[in-house]
Amino acid sequence: MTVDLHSLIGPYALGALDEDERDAFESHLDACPTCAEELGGFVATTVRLGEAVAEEPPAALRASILAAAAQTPQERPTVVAMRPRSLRKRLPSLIAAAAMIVAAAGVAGYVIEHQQVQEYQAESSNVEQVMTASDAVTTESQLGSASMRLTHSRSQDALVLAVSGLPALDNETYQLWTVRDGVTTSAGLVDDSDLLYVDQVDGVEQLALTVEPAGGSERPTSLPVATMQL
Amino acid sequence: MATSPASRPGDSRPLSAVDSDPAPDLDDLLVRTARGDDQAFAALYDALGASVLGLARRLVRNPARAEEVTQEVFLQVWRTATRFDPDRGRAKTWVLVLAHRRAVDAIRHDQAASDREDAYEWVGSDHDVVSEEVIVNLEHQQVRRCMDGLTELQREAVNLAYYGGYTYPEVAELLDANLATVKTRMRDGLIRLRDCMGVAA
Ligand SMILES: [Zn+2]
Repeated sequence: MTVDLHSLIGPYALGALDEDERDAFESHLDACPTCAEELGGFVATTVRLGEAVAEEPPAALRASILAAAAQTPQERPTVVAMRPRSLRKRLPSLIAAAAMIVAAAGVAGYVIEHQQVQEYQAESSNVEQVMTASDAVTTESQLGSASMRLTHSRSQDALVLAVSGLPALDNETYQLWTVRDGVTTSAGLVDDSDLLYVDQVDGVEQLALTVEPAGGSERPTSLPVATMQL
Repeated sequence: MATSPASRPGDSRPLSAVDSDPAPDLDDLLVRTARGDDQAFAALYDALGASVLGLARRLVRNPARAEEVTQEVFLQVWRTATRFDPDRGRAKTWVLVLAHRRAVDAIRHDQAASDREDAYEWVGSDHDVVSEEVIVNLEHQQVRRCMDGLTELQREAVNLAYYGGYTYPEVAELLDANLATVKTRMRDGLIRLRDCMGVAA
């Protein structure tokens, strides 16, 4: 993608980007204080535009919404557990960044919370380089209670994966794998609320997450609980 | 809304009061909603339901579909209220950004479906009508005045994107302008609107 990402701020604020460019711009926001600062005022402006067309809703709609809510379970808050695992030792600041990114995931929340993310990310140059790359593409997926936010940059030949909400395991661990030409390679163990930086991903077609015995495995010993296409 | 149990004094706000600074109580209502407080959720709906429905109607046109979108938006607010952090943003912003996105997604989804149906009978476009129509009927005096202060291209670009739900390449097509110009006009338009409305940057 050769689009100058700064230039997407107007279309982004007005909701006029398709999903790919929206993701690209949100990755850019993490790294661009200029856009981040300007966006706040733009979004507040669009809120006025929205309010200007307010229309009294029919009473039945209120009843219907309240009744539906009464039967709809609410998402539980994301608890950021910082367990002393090897990844945390290796990438101490990244875990905090992961927590912020996961908190920032989700539609409108993103706009509001990206600034915080930015502060944390400044601590981590690897992650920052991926997130700020002009070709960074972010995809988000939900698997039951777990959510995964994958940001991939071809120019940096690296990706950043933020994971949260994974069910807790006893004597087992989550392990991330890259799949390249049918060959599966370990990309490390994954704790909940972790953020993984993986480089040399050229040619990787897929990421897979499996449950392995504590300490991890040389090769996957179970079917993936999640896969993501690159 | 006449039967609203949440219309306690100080809680409900007339639609015309939207230009005053957003009340911190909306943030509080959303925080309480995250704890499962259905009264707070009802009050939040009473405060923002009209804006969400109006925006959805403007975008998706079909009144029944607009109500569906409004319901989806508020159910998403209910489900994910725990993600809202009042230290980092306003509840009203959170809800309206969400509403716009859901409505635009609905348009694109419906459009894709009808494109498949209409693949062989498409005859022309009613785009000119659309851009005319979205300009009229802005209730809010200040917003209308500020819209009037834009250049024609800025105004059309902002209108088609925000109220029409068009992507900027579609806007460029409709306005017969190039992509870079449209992106710039959107940003310039927003700057001018922001300053005209006195929104803090
Ligand atoms: Zn920028």
